[in-house]
Amino acid sequence: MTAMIKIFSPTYYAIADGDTRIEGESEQLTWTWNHPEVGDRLSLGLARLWEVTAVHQYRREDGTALYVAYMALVDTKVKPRAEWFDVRRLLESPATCLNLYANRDGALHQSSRNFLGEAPATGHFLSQFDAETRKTSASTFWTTGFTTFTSTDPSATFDKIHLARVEEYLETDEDASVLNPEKVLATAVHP
Amino acid sequence: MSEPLPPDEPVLESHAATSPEQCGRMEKRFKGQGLDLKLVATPQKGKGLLSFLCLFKGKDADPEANRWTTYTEDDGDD
Repeated sequence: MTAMIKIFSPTYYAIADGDTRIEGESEQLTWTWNHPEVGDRLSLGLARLWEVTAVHQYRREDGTALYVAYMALVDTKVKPRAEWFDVRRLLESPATCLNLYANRDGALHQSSRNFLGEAPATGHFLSQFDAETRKTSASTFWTTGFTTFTSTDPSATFDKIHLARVEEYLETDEDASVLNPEKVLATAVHP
Repeated sequence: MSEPLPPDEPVLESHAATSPEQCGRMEKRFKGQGLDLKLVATPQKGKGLLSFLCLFKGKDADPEANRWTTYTEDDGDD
């Protein structure tokens, strides 16, 4: 399924070595006017700086580009490419895709590497996980569509990237009013 | 607007981890124990330290399995 999702190109998804990432740092989807270049230094949520070690381009049918930037903590030894988790997984599972779930403002809600090549399930709620109770439950956000970016770089680490659009599902007018103060005001003025 | 459907995630065995790399190490460890478990996805569901889920399927997949409570450096590298 293809859904035309407006994105501000170029956009990039930053991936960092999981062994050196600490709490407060996460993989990030960033909408910017300039995609990062190898050697650029960026933050992943904290004051520590990460250096871009590789940038891979993916393109949608209409030519819109999405970039994946691999990062290493500044002044640390970079793992050889052959040891990267994503490189090894793509060799084992060539259909591996990266699924990104963002809202209408571009904020990333979830991401997932899928080693079976499965695209986001449109029309379904996203699930959420509580690490303390180890329980998974349905969230209030659901996937309304997605668009696909295909790798154009032979060194890319995913076969495809699916960028899904998520919306919050508001079950009743009462629920909707919580997120829409204007509606509450209108109700009060015109009983 | 029709109501969204429940999450489209089959019942799988899942464990929390700090990174997809650790999910790969879990898979290697399970295989070393003779378990038929294949890592199929590593969704990132939150921003905490244990923000990644490792989803496994296979003959030995058990949604209630509690093979360990935490994954530590002692679990080894690839």
